[in-house]
Amino acid sequence: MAEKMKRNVSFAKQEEQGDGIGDAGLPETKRIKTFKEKHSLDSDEEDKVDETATYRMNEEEIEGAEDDDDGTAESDDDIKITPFNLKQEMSEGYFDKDGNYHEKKDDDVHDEWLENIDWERLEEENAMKKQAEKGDEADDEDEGDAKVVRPELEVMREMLGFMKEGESVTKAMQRLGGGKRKTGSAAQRKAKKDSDSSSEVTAESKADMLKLTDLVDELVARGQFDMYQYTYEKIQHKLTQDEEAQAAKKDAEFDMFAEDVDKKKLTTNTNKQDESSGTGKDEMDPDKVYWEYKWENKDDADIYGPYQSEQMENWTNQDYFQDGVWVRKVGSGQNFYTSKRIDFSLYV
Amino acid sequence: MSYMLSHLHNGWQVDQAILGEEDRVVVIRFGHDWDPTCMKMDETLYRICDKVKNYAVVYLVDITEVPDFNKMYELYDPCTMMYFFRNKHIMIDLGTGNNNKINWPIDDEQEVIDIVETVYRGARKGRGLVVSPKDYSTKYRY
Repeated sequence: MAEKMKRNVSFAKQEEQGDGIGDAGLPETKRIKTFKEKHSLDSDEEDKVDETATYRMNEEEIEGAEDDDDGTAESDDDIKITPFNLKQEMSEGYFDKDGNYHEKKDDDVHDEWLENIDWERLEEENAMKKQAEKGDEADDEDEGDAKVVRPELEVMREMLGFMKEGESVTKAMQRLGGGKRKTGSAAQRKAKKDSDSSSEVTAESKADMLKLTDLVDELVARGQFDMYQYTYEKIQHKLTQDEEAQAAKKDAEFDMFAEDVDKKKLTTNTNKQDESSGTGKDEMDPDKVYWEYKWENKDDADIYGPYQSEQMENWTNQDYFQDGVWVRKVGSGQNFYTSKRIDFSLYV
Repeated sequence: MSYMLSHLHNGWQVDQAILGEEDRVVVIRFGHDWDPTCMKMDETLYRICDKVKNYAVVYLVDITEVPDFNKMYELYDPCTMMYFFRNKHIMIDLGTGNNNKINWPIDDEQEVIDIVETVYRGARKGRGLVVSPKDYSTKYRY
């Protein structure tokens, strides 16, 4: 029900919400002002305020003050009259050059949370964190793949043990967990009932599922957010790719010591290329999107490519395609689209 | 023409179709099966539904049978195509000024596939608005 309500918003309202974001900026600037001493954020606006604010009227300059004894309320019959009590006003604020009254600012900061922030401690903590990060980076550089990347791949390798071919991680978890997924139609539900009785969730498969969950969690925590969508084949592909990369790295290391090996490496590399082009399309990663482009939208224009999405994105960002080129995904048929309307970062 | 595309027959089914799909785009064609515009669109959808089945699923809704959404989504065109991902309506900049829906038939399969793919990729990255590869503004200027 709640879900339905959420979508119940009509389009006009959605747009209004979008506009509302701009307005939300107002309290933000107000809050920043209260920080002035600490962050010295000086905008033009702030300067102006300071100019007028520097001049404060003296008590003598203000006309029309009712110099009453203590400024206590007088009463005229039943009606109480509060006189223009300058003493009190001056203690609570000041008048600027134009005679505008300003209340003292410190009194109207009433944000418990803000007040409770221990800025010094926060800074210390930040510094510590930064240092720790730096340390990590240094470690990465020192030990390279050994420390961080290798376990990740090992985790993946372990995951493969729990999965079947053609399964995604989510599917594997569902299988091991006994398929608790909500089934849509009545027929599906019936089928599930039948299968439930035949394949009961054994304790073993449940343990497997928990292990798999742990492994995936570990990877997700490291920033592999789409881990759940990975299929058996994709993980396998990653592993073999890494093995190749490491082999290449080893070759490169050899190079430092002996130049003759270069030739050998070259030949092996070309061999590798031959192999992969035999199986796929010139070493193209099936998970990646490749693009072809031409400068003019004509049939006989030269087509360049294929290039990876990252490459296309870089070129676009560098204004290499200033007037737009005509692009199409490799293997997507004949349609060429103008690169201006394509957000390559979506395909990375 | 749309024997193989599944119909949704009431508001609950539409809701469930949108809610139940966790990692696919839900494409819904609102209209009437007998409408020539819809027939054209359905034909295209029928041809692509197998090709995009990994990241999208297509449903048809008869707006007379299921009038629940007509007001909410302003469904007054003979044929309207809309996209949802994880219970969120995904808008597409088609160049027409109306980013909410496609309300004309597209007979090019590849165009629809490209739009659906863009929607899928955008939605996966948390975008609420994606840009369709093709600009439809010039074609449909009156």
